[in-house]
Amino acid sequence: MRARQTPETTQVDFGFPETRVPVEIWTREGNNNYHLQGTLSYNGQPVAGALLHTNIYRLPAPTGEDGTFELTGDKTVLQRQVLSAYDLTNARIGGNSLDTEAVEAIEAASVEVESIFEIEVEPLSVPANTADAVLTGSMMFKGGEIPVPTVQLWGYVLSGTVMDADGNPLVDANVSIRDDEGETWSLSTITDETGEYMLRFYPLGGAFQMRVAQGTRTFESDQETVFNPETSAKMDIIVHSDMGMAMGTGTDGAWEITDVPGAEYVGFITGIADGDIPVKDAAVSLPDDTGAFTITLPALPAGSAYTFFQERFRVFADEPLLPGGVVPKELIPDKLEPHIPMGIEPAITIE
Amino acid sequence: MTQDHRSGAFDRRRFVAGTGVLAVASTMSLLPTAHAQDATPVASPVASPVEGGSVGDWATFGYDYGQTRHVPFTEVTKDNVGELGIVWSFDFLEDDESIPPANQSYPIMVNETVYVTTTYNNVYALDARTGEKKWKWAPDNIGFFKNFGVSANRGVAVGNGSVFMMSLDMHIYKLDAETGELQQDLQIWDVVPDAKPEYGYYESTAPIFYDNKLFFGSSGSDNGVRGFFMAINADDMSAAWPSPYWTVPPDGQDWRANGANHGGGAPWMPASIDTETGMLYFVTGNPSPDFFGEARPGSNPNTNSMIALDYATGEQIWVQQSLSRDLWDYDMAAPPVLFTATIAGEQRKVVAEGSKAGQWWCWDAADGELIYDGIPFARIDHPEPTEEGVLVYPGILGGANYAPQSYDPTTNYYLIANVEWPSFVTKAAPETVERRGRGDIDYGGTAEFSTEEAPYGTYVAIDLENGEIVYSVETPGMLRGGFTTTASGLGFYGGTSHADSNLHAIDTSTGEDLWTFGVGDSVQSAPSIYQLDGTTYITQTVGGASSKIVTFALGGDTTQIPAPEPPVATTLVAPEDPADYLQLSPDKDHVIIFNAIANLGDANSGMNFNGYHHGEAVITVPTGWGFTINLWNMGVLPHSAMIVTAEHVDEPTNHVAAYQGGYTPDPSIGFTGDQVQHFVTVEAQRLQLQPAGEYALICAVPGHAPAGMWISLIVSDDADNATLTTPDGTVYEAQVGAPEAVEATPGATPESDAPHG
Repeated sequence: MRARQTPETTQVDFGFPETRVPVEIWTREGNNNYHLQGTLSYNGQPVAGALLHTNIYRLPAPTGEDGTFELTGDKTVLQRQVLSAYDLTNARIGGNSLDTEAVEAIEAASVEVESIFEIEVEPLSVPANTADAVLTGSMMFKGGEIPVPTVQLWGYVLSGTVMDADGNPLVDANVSIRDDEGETWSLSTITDETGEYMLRFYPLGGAFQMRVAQGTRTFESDQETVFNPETSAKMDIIVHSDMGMAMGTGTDGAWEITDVPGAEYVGFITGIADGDIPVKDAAVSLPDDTGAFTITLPALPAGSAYTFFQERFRVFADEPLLPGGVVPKELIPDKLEPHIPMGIEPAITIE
Repeated sequence: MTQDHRSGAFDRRRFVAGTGVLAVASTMSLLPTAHAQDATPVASPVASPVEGGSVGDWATFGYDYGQTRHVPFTEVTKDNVGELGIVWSFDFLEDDESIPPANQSYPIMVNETVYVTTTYNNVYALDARTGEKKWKWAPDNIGFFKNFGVSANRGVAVGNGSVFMMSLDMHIYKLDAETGELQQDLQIWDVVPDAKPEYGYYESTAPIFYDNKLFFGSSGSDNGVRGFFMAINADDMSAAWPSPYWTVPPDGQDWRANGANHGGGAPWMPASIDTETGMLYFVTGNPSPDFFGEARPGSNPNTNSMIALDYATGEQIWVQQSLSRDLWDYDMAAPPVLFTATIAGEQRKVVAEGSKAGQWWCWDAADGELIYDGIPFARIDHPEPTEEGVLVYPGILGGANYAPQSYDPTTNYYLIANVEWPSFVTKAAPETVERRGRGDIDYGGTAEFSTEEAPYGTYVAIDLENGEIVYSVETPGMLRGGFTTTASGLGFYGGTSHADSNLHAIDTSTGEDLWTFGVGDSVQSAPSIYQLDGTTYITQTVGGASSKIVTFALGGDTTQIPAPEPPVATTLVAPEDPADYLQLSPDKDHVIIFNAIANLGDANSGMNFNGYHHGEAVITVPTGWGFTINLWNMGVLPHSAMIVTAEHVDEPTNHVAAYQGGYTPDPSIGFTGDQVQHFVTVEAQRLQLQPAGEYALICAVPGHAPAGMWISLIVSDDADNATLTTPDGTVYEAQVGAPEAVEATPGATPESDAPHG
């Protein structure tokens, strides 16, 4: 496996024998961490006393006298760690502190370690400018026997806009819903810059109380049975300046809840991308319960090449997302977030 | 070390074991660890137990990193403890009226400053000698916290010139210890994935600062969260561990397969750290759904457990579960205590904890070898919950609740503050359990406190030498604050009830109560004890209906603060004069009170309000005014009150209210005449009558409105005041007034005070 490093600092080596860790199913034993032994070296010489960190955590100990260190990560999650040195004040090579050139080179260097699901794909080469070539593959936990978890219904969503009596949205207001039976716990969320709130949960039956809080003011409603427990819902909230609150937009102030289709789903997908730009026109299917997925390619130019990315998503979809179903195009991002694993081989080249 | 157990005559209650002591199946899951440690000598009494700390500080949550809560100060003794008096106090409610009552904060004293918190995450820095306020800080959106039923905060950590506090909405705030300025604000979910309030997480506890790192878990065990423990770097609040230590499986996996909203194993209180071995210890809460084990099959490992990690990496070293597959909400809530004790004549370093199960465990600190297995210190009798319900001892408050415990090396005793109040626990029907909302409380049943047995408390000392209960002393109320002990042989604890709103000092070796001082309200924490200029200060927060901190020293003011008066139940008297049926609120402008008396006399066969029916009486109200109803029922049939628009009057049933909240509770069922009911409680403005139009005040019990049980209600843009026009044409203008409130006597009904006629 190649270690992906910044090319201009090939004098710096983090010495990982591999930089891909297969995601494993969680077990009851200990922390479920991987431990990778590395050795930091510059021009072949071990660098001692360097402080390292990743985008996830700061390593607790500096590199040893022989340049060695241990990188740890959660092996049960999709993740990319980008490792680099952040403090070379006490770093030494052969007992001597580092010169400027060495410091600059080491500080500029990084290596990426990814934990990913194993992908098996066939075929790997597809004809150019031809649409509808289908790749089939499977996404599995380490060992190839347990498939990736299928898409799951995360919960329904109650959402809407909070506004004042003049129709202006309330931004950064807290909306909460609570069941007053027994202990008074609460689900809550904050409205965004358009005044929209989104509460995610499986609705309970029975009576609820809703509150909107902004600064030190709190607006309350009475208990009221609200939800159809099988669907998402929309409900706008109008807050009156004198502490009243009306749900919905009915002129008589009555509750107005609109059932809406859709729910939040969580799952894993793989897709193809050019670096961090996904090919959105590639129709990706959600892995089924054997981990199998398909990617139906659009027409692609000859000579272009793509790698795989993997992502854990949580999205609101109007239509149910089911194992083996097609991923709606809008769920594929325009650009991949830096923390998700990408550039995964086997790559696809267009002949 | 030989023990002199009981000397002198004193009045004490011996512990009597309850019937049916539960045999605890403690799961052993030993992992290979470091070799057993040699016994550590007890720290020199003049050294601070906290790195870089000054002698006399109380610099970390439990005094030392092992959380023994045992101070080496000997100025206050058994002989002079009666001279303790208040030298300063600070009332948080007086300082800031937005702070709600109750206080569970455990103060820190460093830099000659007491750092203490209140509900809703206010942080105060007070001069440790005088109590003068140096600074105060609170998060911006305090209104946000009104939506949390839980509002307590148990304190801060202080280190490297900063104060760290964790908030209900899962932030860690870093403040300048000198000025209180906000230095950094971390969203915990940025380092602990998905640890957000909307998934049921919240912070009510204090973090621990050690070695330039901050260590913390979270609350939310009963909400089915995925419990965790984590460390961050104090300088920039980045993650110090590669991932959190998760106590339970990921969402939907392993025993959480039946629902991602089932989970738990979250630690309620701070961790203890062994600075010699680098081991960190914390204890975890129960699995959810509470009371309903079928939804989470198996032993639910790591819940109700003592867990030992490597503090630098977060790697697990060993786990011991005190109670498998907990069905009673018996969290290990109180923090673990790490100390070196004499056990069967030999010095051993151990970790111990007494839990809500009313039992105490003690394990070898290095490898988790079980030493004492669930020694009962409370009444124990807890059959498995059924749908019909069972009475369980301890109840769901415990046993030992979050109240920290203390180890006294002089006596070799371990002290526990205990609750004795059984609960009646009913297991839920299965179909309701699976419909729980993610992030909300995940109760698989209900638990009600016994109304037949009054709650009380006990304090208990366990002898580490042999695991025996040395004394168990009953107290008039529950104990939920905890213990602090001194090298001079005193043990301090507070009473957590109005029956015992006192700070106490006991003789640790005998259990005898040596000093009782009224602090005016419930004590929900334990004192921190510190020394400055040779003077020993004992500082204690007081909660209940108050929120304050009182600090004692020898020679202080010995005037005690009396306990609060018990509240008196009151009821309202229905007015007799029709001129008083409609009144203007004396408290708020443009709010009217209508005193509706259902079945007043026989008009319309009793289907009347105040004798009026079929809309023949008219209330006129200006548009936009607030409206309050008080409703009495003089009759035998159930009645209710609801405001509807006029065209809905004749509907026989399923009335649609014109305003949410504009009805008495359960309006289609109503209530019978043995209580007064109100609607629009709290703030009448919530019910604003608009737009203008024709409405009616009806009885919403099916059939009553069509039978004529309604009054006309006109909301008018033209009216200046509210009026009641009776059928004979008399117009009564609403005057300022309200029904008389009288003390309610048991058995009396408002009928006996109300007019007949």
